[in-house]
Amino acid sequence: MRGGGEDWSSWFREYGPAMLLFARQALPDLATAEDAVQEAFVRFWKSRASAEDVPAYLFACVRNCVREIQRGESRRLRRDQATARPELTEALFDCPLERDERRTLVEAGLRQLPCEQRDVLVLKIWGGLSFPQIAAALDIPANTAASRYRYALEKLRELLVEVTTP
Amino acid sequence: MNDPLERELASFRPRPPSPRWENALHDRLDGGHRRLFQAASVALVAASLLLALLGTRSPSPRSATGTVSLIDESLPTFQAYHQGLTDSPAELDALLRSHDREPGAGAPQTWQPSYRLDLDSVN
Repeated sequence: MRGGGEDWSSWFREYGPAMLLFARQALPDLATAEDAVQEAFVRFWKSRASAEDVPAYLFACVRNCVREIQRGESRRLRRDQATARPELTEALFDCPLERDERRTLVEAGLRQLPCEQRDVLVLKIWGGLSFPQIAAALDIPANTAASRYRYALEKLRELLVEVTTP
Repeated sequence: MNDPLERELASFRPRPPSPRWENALHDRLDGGHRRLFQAASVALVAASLLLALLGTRSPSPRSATGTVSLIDESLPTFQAYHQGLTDSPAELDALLRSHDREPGAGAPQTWQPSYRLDLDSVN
């Protein structure tokens, strides 16, 4: 388990970026995703004692808050989420300027992945969760999580090759 | 992570939440304890002030020397009654009439002896 301790700020610093990235996969803008992350983290922190796997529970809280926002927002927001993809104006990653072009390609590739594959990829690569933890967070079988991850990597590899090959 | 693509993806760091959200979390997660401490402090100060105020305003039953004053100095002494009885019935009647008057403004309300012992004169 990364991070940890009884200090919530160390948890938030450790997992906050991955939580936000995870929320941004399904919500239309950065501010809404940050709202979801904040609400999810407060709920997580107050109820974490009952969790079997604490990091998995943290991301399950994010997933639940994202779903609540998706259900409860206005009709306008629901129309936006019919084509839910991370917005183009706000970068998902921080990186040096020399890697900015590659970052743009990776982000574009992520947007083209199916949502369920993208969620597994984000939780595995940036959330640092194992497949059993991802399965617990997303409420799916661990084998399904592993297969979605493989599909996501292959699809992303193809997309990046397509873009970079003239 | 053995896959080069996995390693490349992991090298990109997701953007952290903005600092204002960390401040908002401070308010939501730590604010309750801080508010409780502030309320307890205010209550403690208010209680101290109230006690100090009551302590300075309430009349003390003790005299300046620290003893309780239960004797009305204006009443006739035992010796005076004795003297009055010895001298004449008229003088005794005068003493009794003076005892039958309304209590003085400075007299204690809780307990009033009907006579004052003057031990020096008895001895």
